[in-house]
Amino acid sequence: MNFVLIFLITIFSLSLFFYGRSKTKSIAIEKNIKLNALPKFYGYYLVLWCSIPSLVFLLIWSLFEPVIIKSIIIETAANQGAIFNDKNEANLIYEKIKAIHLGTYFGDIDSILRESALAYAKFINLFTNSKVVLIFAIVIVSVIYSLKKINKNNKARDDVEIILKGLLFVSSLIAILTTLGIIFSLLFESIKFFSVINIFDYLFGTNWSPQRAFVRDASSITAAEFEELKDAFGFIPLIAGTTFIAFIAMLVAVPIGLFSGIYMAEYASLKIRRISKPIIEILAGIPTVVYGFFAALTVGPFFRQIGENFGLTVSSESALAAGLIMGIMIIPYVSSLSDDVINSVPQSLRDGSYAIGATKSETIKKVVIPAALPGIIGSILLAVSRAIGETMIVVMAAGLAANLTINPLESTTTITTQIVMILVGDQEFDSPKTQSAFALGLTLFIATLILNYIAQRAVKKYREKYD
Amino acid sequence: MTKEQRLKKRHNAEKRFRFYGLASIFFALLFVLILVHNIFSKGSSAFMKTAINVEVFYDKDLLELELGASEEEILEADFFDITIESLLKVYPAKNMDEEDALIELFTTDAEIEIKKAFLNNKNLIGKKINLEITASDDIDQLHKGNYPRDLPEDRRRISNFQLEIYDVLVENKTITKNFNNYFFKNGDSRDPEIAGIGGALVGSFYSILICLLLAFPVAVLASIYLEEFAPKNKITDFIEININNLAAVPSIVYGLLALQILLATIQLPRSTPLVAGITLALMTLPRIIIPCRASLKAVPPSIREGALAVGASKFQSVFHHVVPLALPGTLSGTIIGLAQALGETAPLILIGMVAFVVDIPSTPIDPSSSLPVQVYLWSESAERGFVEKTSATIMMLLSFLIVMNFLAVYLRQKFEKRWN
Amino acid sequence: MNNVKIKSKNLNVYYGEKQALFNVNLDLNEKEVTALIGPSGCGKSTFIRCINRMNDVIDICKVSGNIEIDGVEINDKNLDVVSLRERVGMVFQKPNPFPKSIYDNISYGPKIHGKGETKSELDEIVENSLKKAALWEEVKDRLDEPGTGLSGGQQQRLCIARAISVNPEVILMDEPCSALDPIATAKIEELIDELKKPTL
Repeated sequence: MNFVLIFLITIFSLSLFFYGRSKTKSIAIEKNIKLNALPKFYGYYLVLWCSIPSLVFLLIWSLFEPVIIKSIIIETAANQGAIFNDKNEANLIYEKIKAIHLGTYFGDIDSILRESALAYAKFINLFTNSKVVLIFAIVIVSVIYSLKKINKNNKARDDVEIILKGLLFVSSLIAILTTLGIIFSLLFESIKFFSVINIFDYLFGTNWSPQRAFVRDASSITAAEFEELKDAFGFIPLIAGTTFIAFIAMLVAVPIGLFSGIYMAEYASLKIRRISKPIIEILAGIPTVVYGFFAALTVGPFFRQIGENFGLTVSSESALAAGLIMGIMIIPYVSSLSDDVINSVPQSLRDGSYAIGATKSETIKKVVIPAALPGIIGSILLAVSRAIGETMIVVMAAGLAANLTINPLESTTTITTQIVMILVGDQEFDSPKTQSAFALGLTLFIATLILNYIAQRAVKKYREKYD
Repeated sequence: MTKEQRLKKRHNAEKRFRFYGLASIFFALLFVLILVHNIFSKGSSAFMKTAINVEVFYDKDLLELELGASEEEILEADFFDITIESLLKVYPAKNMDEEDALIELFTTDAEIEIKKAFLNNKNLIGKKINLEITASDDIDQLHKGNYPRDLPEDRRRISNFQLEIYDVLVENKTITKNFNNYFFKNGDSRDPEIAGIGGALVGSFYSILICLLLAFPVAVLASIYLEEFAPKNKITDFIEININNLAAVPSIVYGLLALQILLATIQLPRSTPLVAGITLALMTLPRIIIPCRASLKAVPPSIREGALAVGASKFQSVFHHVVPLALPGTLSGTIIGLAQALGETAPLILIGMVAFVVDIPSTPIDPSSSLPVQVYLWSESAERGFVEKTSATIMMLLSFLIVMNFLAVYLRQKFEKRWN
Repeated sequence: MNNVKIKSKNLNVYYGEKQALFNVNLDLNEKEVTALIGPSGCGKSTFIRCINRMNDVIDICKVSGNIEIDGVEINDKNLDVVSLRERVGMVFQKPNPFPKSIYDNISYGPKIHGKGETKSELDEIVENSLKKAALWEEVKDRLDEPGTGLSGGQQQRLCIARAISVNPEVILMDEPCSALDPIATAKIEELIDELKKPTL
C-alpha cells in the first residue's frame, strides 16, 4: 500500500512539474509580464509542495500505526477475555492475532483469538482507508495553496531554496538525532537496571556473574532474589579487564606507532613514505573480526605452545594475545595521527635546533616531540578510546569469565565482550541481565566520550598554536 | 669523556633512533605479510572440494518412477535407497558397521546430489551413470592434507578402515578435487563440506546497499549544509561536535541503539539486512560527512565567487559548481566509509544476524547473515573444515575491501582537481 | 688586517633544476662583521646557509664548489655537520624560540654538546649568554617562563643568546631584524657590534 501511495505521489508530483512549468510560461507570454523566477522553479515549487507534506505525513503515520494498532488490539483481546500476565504474553497473543489475519497461523484458534483477529482486520482496514483519505486531502490542500501562490507570480526560486535549505538542515540534524537516540536507548534500560541494582553495587562490586539473573522479570523480583542479585553485577572485574587489555595494546601500539610516525615524518624519503604509509594504514582497514580470528586461532595457540615449552600455563584465550593483536590494529591510529602532528611542527624550530649543532634524533627528541606533545597525547587518547571500544578481537580472543587478574597469560573479559555475550541469542527484555548490557553500554559510551573530548581538545589546541 | 668520544656516542644514538623507526615500520609490514600468508595458506584450499566418483544406477523399481515422470513426482520420489546402493558399491563392506563407515565418507547431501543429477536428465531412468559425489568433511580435509593421519586411531575421526578405503580410492584415481561451487552458492550449514557463503554474500550486499542509499544522500546534504550554508552559531557548533563524537563512538554502541530503537520500539524484523543496513548507515554517516566536508572545503572560494558574480544564487553556485567539483572526493570518502561498514561485525551480532540461516535471503527483510558475521560464526565451530571456510571467507571479504579501496583511490586521483 | 676565516671558491647551489648561486668566490675575515646586501631572492640566505650546511636539510638543494673554514673544506661528505654547526651558529629571519622555558632554550645547546656538566656550570652559561645578548636584565626573574611568551625583539635576542651559548666561532644571521620594530632592531644592531669584540 505504502509503495503504491509513494508511487502515486511521485507521478503526480512529476506531472505537476511539467504543468507548472508550461503554465507559467504561457501566463508570462499571455499577460506579457516578467516572471520573478525561471519557469522551471515554479515546477519545482509545485513538486515540493505536493510531495514533502504528504511524504512526511506518510512516514510519521507508518511509524505510529503499528504501535497504536497493537495497543488497541491487546486491549480488545483483554476485553474479549484473553489473559496475559506480562508484556511478553501480550506480545505473543498479538503475534498470533496478526498471523491469523495473514493466514499463516496453524495452531488452534479459539473464539477470543478469532474475534480479535476480526477486530484486527477491521482496524487495519480503517487505518489504511483513513491514511489514503488523509494523504489525498493533504496533497489537494497543499497543491491548491501552491497553485494560488504561483498565479500571484511569487518568487518561486527563493521559496524553493528556502525549502531545500530546510531539507539540508534536517539532514545535518540526523547526527544530533542519532546521538539522542543513543543516549535515550542506553539511559532508558540503564535506569531500569539501576532501579533494581544499586549503582554503587554496580560501580564498586568485584563480582560479575550476570547468568545468575537469567530470565527474571525485574518487576516481580523478591527480596531473597534481590539479595542474590545484589553482588552479581560488579563492574570492577570488567573495567579491570578492559583497561588491562587496552594497556597491553597500548604497550604495543604506542612505541611502534610513534616510532613509525616519527620515521615517516622525519626520515623517510618521499618514495618510502609513499609505499609504507598505505601499507601501515592497511592495518586499520582490516576488519576486526579478521584480527579476532587470527588472534584466536593462530596467536593464542602459539603463545600457549611457547608457554608449554617454558613450563608455563598459558590460557589459549589470554589477555596477552588479545592485547597484542589489538595493539597491532591500533598502530596506524597512533602512527598516522602523530605523523600529521609532527609534520605540522614548523620547520623553523628544527632549523633552530640544527643550527646549534643538534643531531636529527636530538632535535626530534628534545624539540619536535615536546612541541608536538599535546597532539601526540591526543592521538594516543583516541587510540585508547578505540581500544576500550573494540569488540570482536576480545570477543574471539579474550575470555568470557570475569577474572580479576593482572597475569597477562590468563584470560580476562572486557565490557564489550560481556555486552555481546549477554545480548547474543535469546534475550529476555526486562530482565536485569539484559538491562545490564545497556548499563555497560552507557558506561562505555561515557568513557569514550570523555576520552574523545579531551583528545580532540588537545589536538585542536595544538593546531591553533601553529596555524 | 673526550669530545670525539662524545660525538661518537651522539652519532650512535642517532643511528639507534633511526633504526627503531625503521624497525617499527618493518614490524608493521611484517605483520601484514604474516597475516595475509596465514589466511591464504589456510583458506585457499576451501575453493576446491573433494569428490568421489560413484556409479549410480537409477533403478526403476527402487525409485518407483516411470519414464516421463513429472517434475513433482521426481521431487516426491525417494532417492535414499538407490543412494545407499550406489555408495556401497564403491568398496566391499563386510558388515553393517563397515557399511556405515563407508557411507560416512560421503556428504550427508549425497542423496540430493543424485536427485539433482536426475532432474537435469530425466532419461536416466534404468540407466547407469558416473557421478562425482561430494566427500564428507573429514575425507575432504584428509585429501587436502589438512588432517594428520599419523594420530592413533582413537584420537582420529577417520577410522583405519576408512583410511584403507581412502587409499584404494586414491590408487584408483576415483577421488578428485574440483572447483567448490557450493562455497559460493550455498547458505550456511552444519556440515562444512556443503556450507557456503551465498547467504552471507547476499546479506552483505543488501546491507551495504541500504547503507549506501541512506547514508550517502544524507551525508552529502548534511555536509553541504554545514560547509556552505550553516550560520556560525551555537547550533552549528553543536552539530559539528556531535558529528566528530559520533565518528568515534564504538560500533557496538550502535548495535545497542539498533536493538532498542529499531527492534524493540519500531519492531523491524530481527536478523535482517534491512536493520543491518540502517544500523550501518547511522554508524557510517559521520564517517562519510567528515571527508565530504573536507572535499567541499578544498574547493577554492574563487569558484563560488565566480558563480555569484554572474548572478547565480547561493544555491546555484553551490549545486552547479561546488558540488560537482567536490564529487570525486565525496565519492571516495563514501566508498571508504562503506568498506568499513562492510567489515563491521559487532553491531550486527547484537541485531541477531548470528542466527543460523540456511536459506539465501531473497529480499532485505529475510533473515540473513553477512560476511564478517559468517567469519565469526564459523570461527566458533569445532569442525576442522570450517577453519579453511572461515579463512576463505576472510579472503573474499579482504578482496572486496581491496577493490573498494582501490576504487576510492582511483576516483580521487583520476578526477580530483588539485587546487593551488 | 685580520686573517681570512671563511673562504668560498666557485660555489654553485641548485634548487632542483634551478641554479641559485653562480660561482661565488668570497673571503670573509675573522673578528669582523660582514654584511651581505642585495635585492630579495638574490641568494644571500642561500649563501649563508651553505656556511653551516643548513642546506642539507632541504632535500632538493645541491651544493658544488668549496667552502673552507680555517682552511678546512666543509663541503666534505665525511665532515661532521654536528660539530661544524657547533662552531658556526645561526640566527634566523623569524625568531624561532623552542616551546620551552627561557632557561631550557639557552641550556639546550650546551647540554647536547656536553658543555656544562653540572647545574652551576649551566647556570653560568645561561647567565653569560643572556648577558651578552643584552637580555639578562629583562628576563632574569622569569627564566622558567616559556620563551615563546617574550616580545618579538626579546625572542630574537633569545635566539642570539641561544646561538652564543655554545661559543661559536662564527655567527650567521639571516636578516635577524626583518620581523622587528625599529627600537628592537637598534638593540640587536648594537648587540652585533658588541659580539665582534674578542671575548675573554
